[in-house]
Amino acid sequence: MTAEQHKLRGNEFFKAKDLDQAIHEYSTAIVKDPKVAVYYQNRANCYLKLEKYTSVVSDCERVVELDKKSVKGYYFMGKAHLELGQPSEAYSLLKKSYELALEQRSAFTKDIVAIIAEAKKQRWIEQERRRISQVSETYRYLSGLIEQDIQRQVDALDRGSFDYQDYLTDLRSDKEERLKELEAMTQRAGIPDDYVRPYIERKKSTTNNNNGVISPEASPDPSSAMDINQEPYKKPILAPAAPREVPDHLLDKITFELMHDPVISMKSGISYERNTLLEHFSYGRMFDPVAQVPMTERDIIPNRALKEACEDFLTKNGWAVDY
Amino acid sequence: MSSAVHRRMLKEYMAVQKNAATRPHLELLEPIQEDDLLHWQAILLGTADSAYEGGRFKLDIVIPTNYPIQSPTIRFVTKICHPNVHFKTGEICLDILKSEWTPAWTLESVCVAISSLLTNPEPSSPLNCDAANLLRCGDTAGYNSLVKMYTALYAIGDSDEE
Repeated sequence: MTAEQHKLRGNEFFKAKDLDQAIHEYSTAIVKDPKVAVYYQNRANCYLKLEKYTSVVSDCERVVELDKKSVKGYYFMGKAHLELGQPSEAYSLLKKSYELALEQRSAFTKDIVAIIAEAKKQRWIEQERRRISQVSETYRYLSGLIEQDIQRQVDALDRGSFDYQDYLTDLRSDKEERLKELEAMTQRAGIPDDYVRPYIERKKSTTNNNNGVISPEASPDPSSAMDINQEPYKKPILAPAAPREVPDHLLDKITFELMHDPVISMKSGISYERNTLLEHFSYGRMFDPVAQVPMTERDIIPNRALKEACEDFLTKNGWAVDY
Repeated sequence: MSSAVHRRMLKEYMAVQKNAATRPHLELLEPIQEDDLLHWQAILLGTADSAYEGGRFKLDIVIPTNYPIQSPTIRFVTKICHPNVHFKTGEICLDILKSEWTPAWTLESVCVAISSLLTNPEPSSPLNCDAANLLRCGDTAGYNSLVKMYTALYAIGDSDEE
């Protein structure tokens, strides 16, 4: 049997949801002809479904090596990185995939945009955690404990066991959940350090004095007083409980969602998300949805300034992805 | 991740709740069940000084999964006498629900449009020929009393019968 025939058999197994058999066929095809990107790409898709993300990444690396314009290669790889908790890598790969999809006029762009949004959100959550932990000692301490605990459990796992991957995924989502909870608590409590700080300071000043005669309340330790003068008491800036709203001008007029690739109508000056506008046209409605003047795909150009504004907003407000 | 149509409906729902006070002729606009955002209901109030005065007209709204690219399907549940509404099925003949639909409309703006259709009938494209004929003959008095009768019969009082 030729490599191509093995691939076709693989496709049939894939359709029948027999992923292990499909992988087997694709692997055989690869052995017979290691220079065909599609074989790796199809196998990567199987791994993706089986949640074997590291295998997805290595197959996709081969795919984009063989076919630099592979939309799916970048897409699967981005998805896998996202699942592996690497949103920044995921984001740049998915962006590449989106550009290629646009170039090739693939119908795939909609799915890509959805995952890009998710990657942006994860990236924001990551940054937000970093920020909170810089600001809140309590958070830093407690999140450290959670990480340690999870790491202990990971280390205790039997690497050889066949459901090792499953346990790993469970633990990872467990960690996410606990960190999220802690984050919510930190935010709800406002500025917990305000309550904790006096104790920390007092502990410091008593140990500094080390004579134990003068209690810090009765006569404030001069050195700690100087500390306060030198470094004015910095109020930790946690996310304020401001209403989470996205300004209207950043929202697509059709889906009411934050735009990712805004295009401007040269007929009206109104901007839309590229995908939704193209979908509108695909129903044969050749007019500007809001201005209701005749318009076609040729009358749009990218609105770069608005795109920057949307991206800027999203960098500072990752929650807006779900808005 | 919820689908695009659900996210959009959620936003429309929030906007509707925020604007509730600004629409005198729209008594209610909400999903029939909170967990199904693709099936809504609305209640229009007949405008004062019109033949529909005092009436409460219930609308049934079904959202297609590719909304807002495609228009919602809206029909009157309450029987209503109007040239552009089918008396038996409640089907509405309104250009913006068909050929003139644009994704920029919202359920709220569509309901307001239907509400204004009540007092601005379009007898040239009728679904209820009897009512349209009265108007086309210029018998406004006859038309008005017919409308008043059906409004009193079906849309006034607490009867929510379908």
